[in-house]
Amino acid sequence: MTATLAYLRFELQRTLRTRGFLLFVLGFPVLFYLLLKDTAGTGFRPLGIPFAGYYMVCMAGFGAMITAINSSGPRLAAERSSGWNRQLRVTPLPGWAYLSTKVLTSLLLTLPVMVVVMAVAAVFGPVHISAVTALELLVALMAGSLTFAAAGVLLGYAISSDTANPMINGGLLLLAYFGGLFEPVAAMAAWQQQIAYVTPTYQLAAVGWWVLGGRTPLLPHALALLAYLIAFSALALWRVEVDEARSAA
Amino acid sequence: MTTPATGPVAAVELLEVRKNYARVQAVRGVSLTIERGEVVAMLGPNGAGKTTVISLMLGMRRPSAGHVRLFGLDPGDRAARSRCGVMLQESGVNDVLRVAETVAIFRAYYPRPLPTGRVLELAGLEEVANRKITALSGGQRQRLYYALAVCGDPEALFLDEPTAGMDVEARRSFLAGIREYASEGRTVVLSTHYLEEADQLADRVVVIDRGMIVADDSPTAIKARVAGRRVSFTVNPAPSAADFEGLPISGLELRDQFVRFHSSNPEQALAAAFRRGWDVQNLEVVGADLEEAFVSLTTGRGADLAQTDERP
Repeated sequence: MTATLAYLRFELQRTLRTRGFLLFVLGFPVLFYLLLKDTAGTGFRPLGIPFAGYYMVCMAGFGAMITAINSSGPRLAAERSSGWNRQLRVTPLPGWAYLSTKVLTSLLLTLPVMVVVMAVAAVFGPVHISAVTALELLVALMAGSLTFAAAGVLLGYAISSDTANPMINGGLLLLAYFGGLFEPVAAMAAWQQQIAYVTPTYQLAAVGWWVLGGRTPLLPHALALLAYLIAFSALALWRVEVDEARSAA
Repeated sequence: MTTPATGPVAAVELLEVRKNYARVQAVRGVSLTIERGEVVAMLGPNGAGKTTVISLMLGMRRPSAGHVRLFGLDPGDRAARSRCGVMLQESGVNDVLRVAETVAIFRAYYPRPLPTGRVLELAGLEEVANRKITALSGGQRQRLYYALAVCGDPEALFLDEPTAGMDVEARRSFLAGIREYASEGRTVVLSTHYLEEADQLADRVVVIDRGMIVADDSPTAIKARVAGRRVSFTVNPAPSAADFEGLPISGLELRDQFVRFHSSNPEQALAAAFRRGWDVQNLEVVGADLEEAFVSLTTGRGADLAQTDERP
């Protein structure tokens, strides 16, 4: 247990020291929020939520998701190629602790990102929600981010470290765009909406909209996120096994 | 096979272990028992299978056939692993961390770690404790890997070519550190392709070549099996093979005025040459290199020739 905690502390410490990473995961959602919160014009209330709040969910979700994937995926890929995970494999640190700590770190790091986005939204939106609702939103989006952390693990084992960063972030931008995080789904063309409804990004945001009282059900979106989580986790574990069998072969 | 409950257990036990990669047989039937407290050097040229044998001992690779035991346990067992410190070739360390921080993290993985200060002292890293890992020299990085290997106060140390990339001075002080650590009754297994390194450190040398153990003996005995020195010089006029009759040499090579031979007693061979009044130029006497040692150990011919041809 102490070994796992020490490893968790290390993972957090190291991330907080990587300033470029923080700038990226904090800067983009905040910047997009400030640039785009007014584009829809006043009176636009998708799902019945004022646009400032609707868009806060989009950007908090976007921030949470890029944090979750980026603090697991590219790092796992880099650690596999640098031999760091071999170095860990000869210590008594249990194998499961390595991956679960990565996932836990990813989830914990989504918190400060979402808090910053929501604080900016509260001031500049302005968004008026109760502290309880804000807390519910944090918990809901963080739980939903587990799906993206699992996707990060999968990508970390499926992609080489050279291509991990551009591939992951290019993919994320597309997913965010087609999932309606930048442009409200209601404003999309019909064919685009069909795509949006199947993206995991849309499911994550929809859970957030539900928390803010939007006219959308919780269960289908939560189940869709769970289905994605199971699929990503299964694929990730399969990749991990292939990788371990290969290195032990 | 012994179990921990029934008595003293060897640190490492390999029984008829084989390891095949796609088309290559990297390890071809190795049986080896390393008792606790032994300091064993695995000596072999590049590609001999030393690294594979170490990774089999540690459960990092699974044998294609045979049995591996680490402290009587499956090598993947955490209980076995917490008793071992390991220094791999080409390890990765995380760049954003400082030396002391990295040591502190690895300490936390072990049940009874050494204090961080003591670890830094053992590895000779006190002066760079607060330096970022990216700012370390190659030799310092190597010592950091050593620090990570000893930080859990392990009973057994596994060091895969630990002095690779170190200069002579760094190597000397590094080996002295390992010797000090080993003197406290710990087991040390290290691989090297330097005979002198094995000689300085180990009580037992296991020579591995092409995936097999070709010799397993004390350093002195191993050295005795290697034809001593290689002597080369030029003489004018060019000598003939008959001129070397009766000298304690083997493997004579003559090319015009250039002469080269092996001798376990080069002083005597040279004294004889000088007594004949030869004008010896460009004299070189060097230790027979490991390549030759392996030729003699693997084929057995070199060593035999050295004995049969010499007429001291």
